[in-house]
Amino acid sequence: MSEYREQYTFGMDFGTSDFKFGPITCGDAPRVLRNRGYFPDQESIMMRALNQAPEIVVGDDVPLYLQSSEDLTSRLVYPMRNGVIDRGDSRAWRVVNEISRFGLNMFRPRSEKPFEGFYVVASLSSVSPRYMYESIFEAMTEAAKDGLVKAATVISQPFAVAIGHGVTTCVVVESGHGNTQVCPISSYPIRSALVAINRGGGEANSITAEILKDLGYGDLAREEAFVRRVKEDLGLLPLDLESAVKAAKENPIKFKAKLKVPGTRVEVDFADKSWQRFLIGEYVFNPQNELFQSYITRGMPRPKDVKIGDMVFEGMIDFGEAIVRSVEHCPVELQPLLYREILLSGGNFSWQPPEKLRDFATDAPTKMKALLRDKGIKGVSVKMTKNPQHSVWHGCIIYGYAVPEDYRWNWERMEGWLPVAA
Amino acid sequence: MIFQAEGTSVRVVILDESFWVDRQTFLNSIMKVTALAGKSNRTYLALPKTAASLTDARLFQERGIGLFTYDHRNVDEALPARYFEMTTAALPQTDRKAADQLENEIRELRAQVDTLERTVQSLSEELMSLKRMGSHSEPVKPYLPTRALPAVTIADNLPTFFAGNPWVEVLSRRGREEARIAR
Repeated sequence: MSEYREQYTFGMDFGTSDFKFGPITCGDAPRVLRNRGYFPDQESIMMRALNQAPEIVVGDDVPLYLQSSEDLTSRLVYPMRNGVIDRGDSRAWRVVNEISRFGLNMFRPRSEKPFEGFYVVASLSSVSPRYMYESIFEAMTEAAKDGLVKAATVISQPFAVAIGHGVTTCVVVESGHGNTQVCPISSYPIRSALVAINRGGGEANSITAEILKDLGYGDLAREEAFVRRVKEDLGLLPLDLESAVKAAKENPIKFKAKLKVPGTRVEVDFADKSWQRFLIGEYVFNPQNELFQSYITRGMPRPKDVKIGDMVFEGMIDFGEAIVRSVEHCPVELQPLLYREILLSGGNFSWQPPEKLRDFATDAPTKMKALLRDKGIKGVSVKMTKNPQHSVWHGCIIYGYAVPEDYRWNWERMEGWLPVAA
Repeated sequence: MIFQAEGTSVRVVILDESFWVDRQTFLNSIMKVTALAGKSNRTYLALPKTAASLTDARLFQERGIGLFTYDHRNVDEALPARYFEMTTAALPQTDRKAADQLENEIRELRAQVDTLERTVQSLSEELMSLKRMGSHSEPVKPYLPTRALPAVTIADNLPTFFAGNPWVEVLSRRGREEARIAR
């Protein structure tokens, strides 16, 4: 392996919420920034007075430039919110370019040693259409003009997860904010068996917001960061929704859901509606239960089937059905091996049941096994990735270090190095 | 084995892999774990995976007993155990009503043990017949490349997630294996 790449392999994980990045020399953990950019209002009095507002701000400085909360939705851009960026969304692409360059510059060597640019491995959603790969390569080519990049490649996030976890035959279920991807891997990603679901952590946020509105916290329900906090602190994943709701209605004190934000007067109390905690987790894994119908009738968006590029993202399929469908697209001999290694990755699978509620609340691997059992699939092994927050970046680094330099990019196999250095 | 933390106790009865086919030992493990259910916050039976695929989990679920399955690579929680609240209430004084209750429970337990015995007998027979079928098939021979590829050396100063990762070798062959096949 090249000594140069022992120092200058660089990984970039463009997650829906966070951008994780850094060279191999970061060790076990990358740097993390919110994957977003802010476009300050150049016409505002404050910005004119300062006379130094940049056109776009990324990184830790974003909160310093935030103006009124009404501006947040228009000026604060999360480019990868749904895993896919529209071809014509120039602001989103601007953020991607800016944040990539920000990350590369942060680690540009300052020593006298000759530096020819990083070997960059970027990771995108497995459902990203070809133009996204092309745009990333364009961004790297631009960065190469400043001597930041020597060669670049792009791998899919599920593939990176399998590499980071160290399993060569498996099914990776990657669930982020906007969508969930089920991807079988057998030394290579089996792209023909990919199943995409138009549901992710964002759906848990949506139902949490509806629950908060019903409880009288409509103002708080408009703040995404707060809704996310309620989801993470109070949301539960039920092993069986009907029995969990029944138990919680019979004993609301045992299942009580109350959250106070330290340093503020903000407090949320579900009171006798604490059973609704279980709706938050269930909606992500299986939105077909009729309990959700009332929210959909009253205006909560129902996860729809959408087509992006050549890929159809199904809205209402449950996660167990998605895994079965994906595996059954693979050779029969491979199927038992795939069921024996199902890896769950992504923040959307971080469900930790309180010990005293473990009769009714569960974690993601147990829930997934139950969904597969309902489909007649037994004897499966479902695990969380060892390091769910960083496994994609780990996979990028291993890929960048190990793949030979002369393995050139090929649009048929969607792998290989694209030399971009000037 | 008993595990305790933060006021919660978990008891695990392990059926050794080598004793799985011994009917008496298997029965003893089942009866032991049934008797222990409720004496800890959670009670589990740990079975080898070969046994678990033939086990009806509903029997254990009804009694609140959880199941772990294991092989030489993994231990998995196949069925969560019910949580039993432990109380320190004083035992009631013996009276006629309590004695009747105990007798009824013993009767019920005996009936359950009978059912379990029949189930285990049937499972044992199924396992024997599967073993006989399995011995007729040839073992799968692993694929071995006809020419060895050069070994991959990894530098010492790499992050810990490189250690033991098979992908380093798999990825180092990208392009090399395709070229060999093309020739």
